[in-house]
Amino acid sequence: MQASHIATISKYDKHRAEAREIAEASLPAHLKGVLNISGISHRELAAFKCWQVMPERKVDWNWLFSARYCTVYPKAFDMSVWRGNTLCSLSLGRPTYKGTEMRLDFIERLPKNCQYAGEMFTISLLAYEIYGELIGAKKLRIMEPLNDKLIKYYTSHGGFEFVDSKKGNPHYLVRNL
Amino acid sequence: MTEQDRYQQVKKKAEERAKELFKPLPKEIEEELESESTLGNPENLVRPDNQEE
Repeated sequence: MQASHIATISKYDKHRAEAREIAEASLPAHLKGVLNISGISHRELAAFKCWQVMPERKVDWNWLFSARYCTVYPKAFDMSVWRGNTLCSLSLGRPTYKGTEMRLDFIERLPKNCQYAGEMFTISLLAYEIYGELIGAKKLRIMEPLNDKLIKYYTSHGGFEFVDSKKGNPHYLVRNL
Repeated sequence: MTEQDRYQQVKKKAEERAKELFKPLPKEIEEELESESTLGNPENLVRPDNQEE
């Protein structure tokens, strides 16, 4: 690995840690001190193994991939949410090639009995916006928000615009930071 | 602007943004968020970057 690549990872590690710290400090009163925000490391990947055997799980995505993700994409953002010793959600995203927009690519939460299930997306959204701000991105994208109801809600209430898929690029919601 | 100034500025903005984001949601949307255990598409993590963006 080149020295410049290592330096970039280190620089963005600082921003990743700051974004998680600010997001956690910004949580509303009923979540502050209850949920903890972290990255994705050995601890999260060990906890994720419990998700893999849950029949309620809707995807077959292997989060072990994330261990390499921030090395391949040193400006990427990885995040987990914990409640005590329970892993509640995992998410990954990266800036666009030119770094002008931050992408939230994928979130998965505990497939069953997830307390605060409805707030996991909002927590991730907040943290990704903060990270986007810290790295100088101008916009935040939610890539492929599959659910039409959510698209409608966030375009009418959340300040997002819908961008349809084109030239092989998937559709997304985008908001100015 | 120093890095510390930048950090404080982002922190202040995040506090305001959190107030917007964590407002009570319409029941229909709340139910959607509670029922969806995934959002987005993991395939996008492995798709190559569009170099024009």
